[in-house]
Amino acid sequence: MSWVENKTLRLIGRTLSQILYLARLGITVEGIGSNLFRFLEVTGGGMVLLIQTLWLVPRPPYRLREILRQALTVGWQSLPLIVVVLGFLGMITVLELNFQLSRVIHNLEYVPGVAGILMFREFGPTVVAAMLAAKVGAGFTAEISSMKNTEQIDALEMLSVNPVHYLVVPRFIATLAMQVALSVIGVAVAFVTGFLISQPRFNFQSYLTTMGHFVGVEDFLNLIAKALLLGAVVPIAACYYGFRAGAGAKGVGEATTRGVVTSILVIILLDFTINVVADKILEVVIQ
Amino acid sequence: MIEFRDVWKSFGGHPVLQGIDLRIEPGERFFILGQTGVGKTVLIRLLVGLLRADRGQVWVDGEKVTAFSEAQFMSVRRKCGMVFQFPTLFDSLTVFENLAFALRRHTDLSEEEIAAQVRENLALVHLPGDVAERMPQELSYGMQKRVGLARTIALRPRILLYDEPTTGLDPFTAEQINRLMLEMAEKLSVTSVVVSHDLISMVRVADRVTLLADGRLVEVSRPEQFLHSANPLVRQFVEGRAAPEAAP
Amino acid sequence: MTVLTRQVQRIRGPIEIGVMAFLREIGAMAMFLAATVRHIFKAPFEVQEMILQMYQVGVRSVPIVLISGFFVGGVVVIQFNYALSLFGAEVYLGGITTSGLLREVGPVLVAIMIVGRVGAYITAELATMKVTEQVDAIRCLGVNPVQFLVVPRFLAVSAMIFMLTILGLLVALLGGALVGNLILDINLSFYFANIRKLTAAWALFTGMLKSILFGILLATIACYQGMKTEGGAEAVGQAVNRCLVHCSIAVFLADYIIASLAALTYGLAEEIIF
Repeated sequence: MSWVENKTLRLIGRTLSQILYLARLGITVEGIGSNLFRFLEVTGGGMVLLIQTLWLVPRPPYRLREILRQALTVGWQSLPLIVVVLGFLGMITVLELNFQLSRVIHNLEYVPGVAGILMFREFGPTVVAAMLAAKVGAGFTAEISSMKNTEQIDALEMLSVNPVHYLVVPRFIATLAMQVALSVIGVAVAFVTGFLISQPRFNFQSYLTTMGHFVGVEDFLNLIAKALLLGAVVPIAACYYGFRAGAGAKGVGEATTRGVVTSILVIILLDFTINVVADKILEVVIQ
Repeated sequence: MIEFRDVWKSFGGHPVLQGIDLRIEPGERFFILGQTGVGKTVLIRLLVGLLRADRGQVWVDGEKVTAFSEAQFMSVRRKCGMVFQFPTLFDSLTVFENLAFALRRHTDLSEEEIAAQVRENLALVHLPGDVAERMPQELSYGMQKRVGLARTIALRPRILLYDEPTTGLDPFTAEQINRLMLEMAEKLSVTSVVVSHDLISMVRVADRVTLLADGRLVEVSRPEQFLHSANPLVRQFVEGRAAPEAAP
Repeated sequence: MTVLTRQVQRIRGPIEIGVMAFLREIGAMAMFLAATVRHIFKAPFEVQEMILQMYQVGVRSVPIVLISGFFVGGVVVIQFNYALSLFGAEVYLGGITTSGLLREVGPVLVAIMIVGRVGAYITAELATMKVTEQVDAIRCLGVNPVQFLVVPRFLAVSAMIFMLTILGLLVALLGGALVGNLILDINLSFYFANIRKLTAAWALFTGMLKSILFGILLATIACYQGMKTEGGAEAVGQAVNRCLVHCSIAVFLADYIIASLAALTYGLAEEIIF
């Protein structure tokens, strides 16, 4: 048996060479450089698009009808998803807190309060934002990238219409508004399902009262503020990758994937930053 | 060799093929012409089981394939090579891997024999051997199409089905493909069935030709007869005139 | 009255259609999974394709899982710290954060990230191959596309999601401890001392069970959505979109089922012990 005849070794060799081909950009020096460059390019490009959009928002033409249409589409499309997901999340949170709180404070009376705090301050806005990235963001990217592929974006520019103003601004405003509305709806749904699952222990009155003891106006404002900040991520990232999409089915697929991954990653990072800043502010206020 | 007997096919209530009867003889270079979207591609897809007929029979090589299961079609597909309109090369594999794909799975050839086969197939489509180590997306579109042809002939099929082989190509590349189609028919002695709307390619390559219009085959004739046919549908197609009801 | 009935009927139509479509989709997906599992045991086995896919979905997702896992841990420790401070129970922070991350928050949030990275990738790739006729080309070369495309991806994705989730969990724990120490000024030895008291091996087991289930679910949905795509470039985008939505619902549904099962067993254990 010679080495060359061995089929298994051949297979391993072939596979390795293919992996090396796929990874060759990642492991060479210029590869790392180009990855870094792409990271900077994407971050910069995203920021530029965000600033452009914010600059164009207060500028005419206002196209209220288009904004309304987008808002209705966004809201109506993602409402079932938000209701289902936040419904389960409400129940999961209560189940988990039952377990955790029974061990540390040996008292399940406070579960609704803590569940409320976590939903308002954390899971409500972030999970809704992530779901919008999946449902709405991927849709935006697919839509804009296929417009780009069929040269509709070029056609807009030939008619001297700014594509950012025409395509991004209505989607941006609509998503922002819907993010806030859907976060409130989602938290409300989570509240109901959380109540339902802790059924024998609380009646509606006592559930509401316990929650009221813990959740204050500042938590509600926290929800709105987070929804507004995180809501800006999805339309910008989705549209950015839509404009950058490569040609054909492959390009559209890749753009959609990248848009979603970037959205969720930025949502997590931004959420973390908000939390750290809020925590520091809280410290200062207490002092 | 290939026979359609009263074949019907519709998509979502929209009839595409309405009673096709056709016989293609062994070794022929047969062209099926027709406007875009008229259902020419459907016809050759029925042969290899990528689509199924609603009614009628399809015979390949003395076998009635209409009732075949997906597993039974595997043997038919080894006899019938399909050259797709777009190159459809597997873009995660090198050209070599693409060409060795079918050989590795259907033959007991050793690696050396496979490599020799791949080189031979590349030579048949006039590509140099060093193309083998490149990725498909690094090649020009015309080269990709030729690699696609080389992949199709790997198992030495006896019938080659070409789906719009020259559509969207510049005249120079189209002529390369026309020449390849003639060479394949001669060197591998295959039966060629070509679906196209390219009259130049038809004149260069075809032995016999037919026109598909309104779900039926209009006429089967030799290329020169076809070009001078008196049939109004053929005249419309050859002269590029719109159908009377569609005219403004 | 008749107006009301008409209104009810008007709503009932779409709902019935929706429910039927949903059931049909679930049925089709189950059939797809069954076909895939049947083909796993058929020769030839596409080792090369599977290793490649493991690299593509596994190794290449590592950076993004590391980053998101770390910050998820950080977010959770900040929020739990706030919640526990309301009871003056901050001493338990390390234990509660670790246990909560392992059992619940970690698997779910890491799974959402992986849905975006892996699920979308697999669907996009398969859908692209489908609409560019590469799948037909495979069939024309006499190779079964389920065997060549779906089985290796299904196995690779299931295995890799399991490993990525475990990786994400470990990094989330690290993130929780580090952020607790750096931002919240919590003594690390204090933080870790608590973990052993409040985190049972059971928590780790729950987390792992979830990641196995998530892996199989996401692999099935992603491959199914990719393979059933028809149309052009726009259909690829829509397939990715549908895959993401279905995967998200599946993750939360599966998580809820396991959480309620865990609650049940916990209740039982409590009854037996006390």
